[in-house]
Amino acid sequence: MLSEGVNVARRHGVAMLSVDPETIPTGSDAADAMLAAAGDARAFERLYRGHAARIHGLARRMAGDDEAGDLTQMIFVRAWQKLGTFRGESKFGTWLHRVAINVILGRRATLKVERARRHEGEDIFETLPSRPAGTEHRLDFDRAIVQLPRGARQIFVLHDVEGFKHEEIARMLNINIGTSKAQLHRARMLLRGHLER
Amino acid sequence: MTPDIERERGGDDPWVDRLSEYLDGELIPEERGALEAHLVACDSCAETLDELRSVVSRAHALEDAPPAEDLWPGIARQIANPLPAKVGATAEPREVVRLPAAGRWWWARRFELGVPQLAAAAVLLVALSAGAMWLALRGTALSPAPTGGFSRPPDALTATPTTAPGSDGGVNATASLAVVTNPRYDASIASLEQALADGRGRLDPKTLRVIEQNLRIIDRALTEARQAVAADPNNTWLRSHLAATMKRKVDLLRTATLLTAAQG
Repeated sequence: MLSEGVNVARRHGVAMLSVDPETIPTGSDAADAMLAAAGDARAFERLYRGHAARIHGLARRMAGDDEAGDLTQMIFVRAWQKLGTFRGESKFGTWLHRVAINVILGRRATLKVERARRHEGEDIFETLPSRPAGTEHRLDFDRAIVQLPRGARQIFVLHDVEGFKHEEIARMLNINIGTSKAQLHRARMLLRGHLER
Repeated sequence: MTPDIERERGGDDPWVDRLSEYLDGELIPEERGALEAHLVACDSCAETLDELRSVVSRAHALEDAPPAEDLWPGIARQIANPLPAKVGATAEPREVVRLPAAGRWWWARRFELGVPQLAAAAVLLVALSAGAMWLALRGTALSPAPTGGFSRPPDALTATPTTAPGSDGGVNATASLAVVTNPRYDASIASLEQALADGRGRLDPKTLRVIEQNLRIIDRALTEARQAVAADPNNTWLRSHLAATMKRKVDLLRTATLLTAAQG
């Protein structure tokens, strides 16, 4: 049953859901999304709390530690702006993830120069120990992903972590499928040295 | 070659480069059969395949941790004033319509749209201006100056749009434009546009069409850039970008008027 707040949102026609709003359980992501679309920042904060870890993880792996915080903020601000497009056809998390990918990839161009100044070179992996030891293996594997060359990293994250297909990645990154496959293989080969033993 | 690079490339065995495709089930049956036969005989490839499988497995098992610092206060600040955009919504207006105080919300939304358009304008300008010059010179050599055939009225060239087609700039956006209006610049533009309007009859239709297309692109880019500066007037990069775009229009109009003079 919808709360009065959600009904207010409905009256204002803010969230043009394609599902029957009466079926949306109070307290669910979909209800919070509807409330947030009507301007309820507290509902949006609940959504943030529930999804920040995943979005931040995606941003960090795709763009690196330095940019992850800013990107995460940008993603949630963009999501707030676009809440009216959330129609409830997919889970809110799926919708938010799509927004996040768009923001991250859209930001690539503006950060191109900055990134080129940092580590684009082949030698970046030489800064990592090839076989880290001890209890930090898990962390090091994540860190190793972040330090992959950018092209290989983004494709590895999109394919192996996020589950996109090469066809989708090629479309998103405006590359051909062969390049996507080659970069994925390159990333995996580089990451072999950072596996737990 | 460093050990890491060597590990990345997997030595000289050509099958190594196909292992990921094999792992992902993307090889055709013949290739898959051949690779499986190779794996039986090649311990190195078999070991590499196991490692790649482990990498994929680790990737699937990665856990997400929340950001080290709470990002919500920053997000809350950015969404504090404006309400979310109602893309596709058709319902009645909200009871309270609040405009972004400093345009943060608006700018964040428009910036992504504006930059590609601005970039496209810049790229097209270079390419098409060269094309315009080529067409003009070609027209000089091969055909007499045209006397008509333009679909636009004579004064159309002097009209500068105030909002881009499809943009959401309404009354408030128009008001914002006043912030970035430069009377001297406008006067220069008006003068150049008048000169072009006076001489347009001497230009080859193709040349004029290219020039007009360029001007429309630049005008759209200018509108976007002006709105962006109006929304974020202290942004130095935006202001310099606007100035560069304004200069592009002057440059194009000057080129065009020079062409009309050359045709005369």
